[in-house]
Amino acid sequence: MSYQSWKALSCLALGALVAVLPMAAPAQNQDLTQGQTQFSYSRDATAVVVQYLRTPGELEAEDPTTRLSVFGDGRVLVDFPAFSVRSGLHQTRLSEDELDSLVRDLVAARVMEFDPATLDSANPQASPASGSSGPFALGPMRTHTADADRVEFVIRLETYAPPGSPTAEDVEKRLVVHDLQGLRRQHPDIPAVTRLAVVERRFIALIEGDSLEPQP
Amino acid sequence: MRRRTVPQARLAMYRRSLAMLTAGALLAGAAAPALAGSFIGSLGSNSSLQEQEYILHPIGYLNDAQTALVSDVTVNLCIVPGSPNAAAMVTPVANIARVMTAKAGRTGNLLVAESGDPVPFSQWDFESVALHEVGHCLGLGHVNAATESGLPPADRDYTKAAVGGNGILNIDAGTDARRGSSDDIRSDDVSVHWFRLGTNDPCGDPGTTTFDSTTYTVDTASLPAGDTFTANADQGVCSDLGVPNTEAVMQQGSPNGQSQRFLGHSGEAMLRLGMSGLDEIQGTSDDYTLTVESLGISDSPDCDVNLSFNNAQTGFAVCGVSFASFINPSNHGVMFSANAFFNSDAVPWFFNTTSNDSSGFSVGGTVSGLAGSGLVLQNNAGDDLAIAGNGSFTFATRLGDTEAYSVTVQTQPSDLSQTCSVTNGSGVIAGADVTNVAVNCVTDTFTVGGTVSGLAGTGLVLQNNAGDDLVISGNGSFTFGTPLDDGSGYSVSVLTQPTGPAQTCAVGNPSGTLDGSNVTNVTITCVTAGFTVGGTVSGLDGTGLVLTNNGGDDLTITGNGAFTFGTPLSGGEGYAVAVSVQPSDLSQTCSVTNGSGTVASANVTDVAVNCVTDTFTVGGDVSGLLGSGLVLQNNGGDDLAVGADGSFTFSTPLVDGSDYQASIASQPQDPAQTCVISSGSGTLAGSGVTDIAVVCRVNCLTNEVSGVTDTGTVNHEACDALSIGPNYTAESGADVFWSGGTEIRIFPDTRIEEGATGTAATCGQSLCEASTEPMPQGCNSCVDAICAVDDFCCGAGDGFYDSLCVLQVEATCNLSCN
Repeated sequence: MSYQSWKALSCLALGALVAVLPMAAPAQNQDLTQGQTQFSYSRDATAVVVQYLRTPGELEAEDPTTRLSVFGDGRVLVDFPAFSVRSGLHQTRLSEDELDSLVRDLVAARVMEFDPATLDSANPQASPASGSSGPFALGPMRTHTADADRVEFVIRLETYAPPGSPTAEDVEKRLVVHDLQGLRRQHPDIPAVTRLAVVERRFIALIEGDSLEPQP
Repeated sequence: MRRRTVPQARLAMYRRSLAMLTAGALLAGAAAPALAGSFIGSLGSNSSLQEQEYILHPIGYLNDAQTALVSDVTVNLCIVPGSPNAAAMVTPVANIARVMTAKAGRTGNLLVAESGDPVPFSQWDFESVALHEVGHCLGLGHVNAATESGLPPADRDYTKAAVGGNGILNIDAGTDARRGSSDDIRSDDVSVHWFRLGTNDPCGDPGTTTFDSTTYTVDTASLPAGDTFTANADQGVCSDLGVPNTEAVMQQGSPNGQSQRFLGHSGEAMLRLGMSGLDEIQGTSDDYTLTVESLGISDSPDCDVNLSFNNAQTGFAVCGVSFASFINPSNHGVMFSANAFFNSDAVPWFFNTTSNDSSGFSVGGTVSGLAGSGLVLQNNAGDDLAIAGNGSFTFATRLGDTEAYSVTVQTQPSDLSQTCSVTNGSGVIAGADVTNVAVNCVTDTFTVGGTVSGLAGTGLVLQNNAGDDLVISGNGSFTFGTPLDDGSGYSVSVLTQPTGPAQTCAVGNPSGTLDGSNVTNVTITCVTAGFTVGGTVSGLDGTGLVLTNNGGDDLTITGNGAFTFGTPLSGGEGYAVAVSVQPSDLSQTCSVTNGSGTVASANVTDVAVNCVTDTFTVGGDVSGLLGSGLVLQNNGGDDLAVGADGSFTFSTPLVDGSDYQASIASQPQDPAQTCVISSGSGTLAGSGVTDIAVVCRVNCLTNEVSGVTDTGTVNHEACDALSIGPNYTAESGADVFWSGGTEIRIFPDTRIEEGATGTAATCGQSLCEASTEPMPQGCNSCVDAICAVDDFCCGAGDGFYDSLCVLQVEATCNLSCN
């Protein structure tokens, strides 16, 4: 960033003093890249590129999981549990750009490298409770979500090449997270959690959205 | 109490010694039942003892100034206004508040079909699920390992524990193969599950009023001889112990067709254990009482626990809490906020409509015969009770002994006309609940009839629904003898045509469904055999066209061409052809010419019915428009200039069934904007289009500030390149901020008058392109707005300005990267 501030002490033509403040242009964003990571995925209508599974904690049923699958042609299929209000298969469709964006965001959220074990050693948000002194002094504020959803992300790439690494082919990553939205509140210091929670909201928006229609 | 004098640093050790001594004493005497439970907070993998013995106290135990403990804690439950199902939640939430306030655990608190469960098999009981979640919202944790353990579903019934030194949960169901029972082998797992000293039976009644660390512990060293781990009040464990239909409310897992609307003994024990305060000794000054109240649907500042249906927050039901641990003792914490969320689509919910208020006496009874909806009962001219179906009902308001009650019907069922009557509806409370009020609903019946005209012969017989024969002897009104239930169908037909003279009688308005009143519009038109009436239909593209002659003799037209009514008319008789039903699937309007006259001595064949497809307008709404010159098009034409926000309509209507596609012919300028269209295309289907949305955003990629004189505080910004000038002046006193994503170009004639101040800032990269570098805060107001919602974009946690950040230019700043 570049700043120039002034206070005019006399009337002047600024053009004489300040010419142009050119800045280095950032790298052009190209298809199927995220930052310096390059990747590709199948555009085949039968290939599942992304999956999102949401399993509530408190619900006791034979199969309580809602499964969202995104195919290579952008078709989105949501399989609701048989007992739910919207039971059965529903579908909608993403455009090619929307699917690119979704996969790119998953890559940006570092799903491919995400290690849930890092959460075990992370410290809770280090914000002390207000007035934390005196006989009833309190430690850091903590959050907890009881009965939280367990969510699973699955992403399948044909090629995946993070910066400095060789290109891997036919890569599948499964990532299971318990209470992702709660972790986001508890660990604002872990960007990957924040990013993943943001992406999860896109899946929830698809599941809750009006565009879903029962599959004929 | 004197134990308050024990130094805090030694309290844990003292408590442990006391517990061991007490355990020994109880073991030597008669066995007392033991109870178990745990708290939120005792969840971490940290194996320190303090973490395992955790007790979390409810909201309000620490005063707002955090300077003193509160002895009378009241937790207010509120239903978030506007939540789906808010009204249906009122009675269950009020019931939960009373259950939590009473803290009276029950043996047999789990109702299944065999034990009087009121919840249909295919539904989930909201009150039971919410009782569990409110338990969390008061600080209680699961008694079983639950989903947070990461164990597979079948193993989640093991008793709640933290990992020990080996870093994993060790599970072995022992010889009885029952998970969560007292012979489980858990290796170095550390119990976080409190149990009553002396025994390890989690399902019985405590039989004592002492709930503190003299009677409860999590220390497995205090288990009875032979027990290897704490047992939890799982349904199966309790059943094995001879206590059927009993389970801890805080056992995770709510199935369909069950209700669990009362605490078990463990829930009671954990709430009361918490009430012994920070010293965990009952009877000392840090004890507190716990009252839970329902404020109903409210957003009052007094709300502590907020309940709502919010599908974005959960796939079924959760409680999210915030809390903090005391520095000393660190194994105690206090809650500050709690929100319970439920998912409206996850399951078919069952909402209890019966209050559990046990003060005074209830008034209720049974409804039978109800088939309609909308029935509302009242007691003593109030306490409205909406009845959804047959079965028992109870008014929410309870009455005192000797008080009078009077049950009446406030609103009769509506969609199906029924009359509900009350018997045993009034009296005086006589020391017991009133349960014998009987409300019986009977579907109202209505007659079917109409009018006969033109009858000259004899022998005419009509039928309704192929029966209920009715002999007609003359013109005038008629009514079938058998009334029909409201909502049932009727179909009138001619069984026998008249003779002497031979006549043909046609039925008009022959069929329908009874809808709350007698049917009197059936027409029977009899004509002596004569001449037909007909003509030609043209222009018909839709279906469903029905013509009538003289108000009857319905004739459905399926296509263009000739038509003839079925009933001939006599010479000299009048005819009047009309459209009874216009075409429907394609909206058309059919009109009749030569439709009326008097039959002469020949068939009438010149009635003309011409159908024209209806037209509809196409339009929508424009928002965000600041510039001028916006021109919209429909189907590549019909240009429409739009000058301001608001609704618009293309001037050329389109015929029904035709396609429409709105587009932008010219984007607004000054300022340059990009308008995008949503819901812009489709096919007309019987009505006009009004939902095309045109949203305009200011183009931010470049911004050319020319011919401008600034005074006061002014921002000029661009996502990429900002140009100042030509012919730009900042007057004296002006404070200007210039910002460009990549560059600021300043023309030579730019004038800054004496006394003007300003700042020029660039961000080093375009706001409209993703990069691998973070965006510097402060370089642009849009950047600041984006980073306020996603600080990753400005470098938090090694973040950078990626494609999600670019999306925020539109989503957060309402700007367009054009």
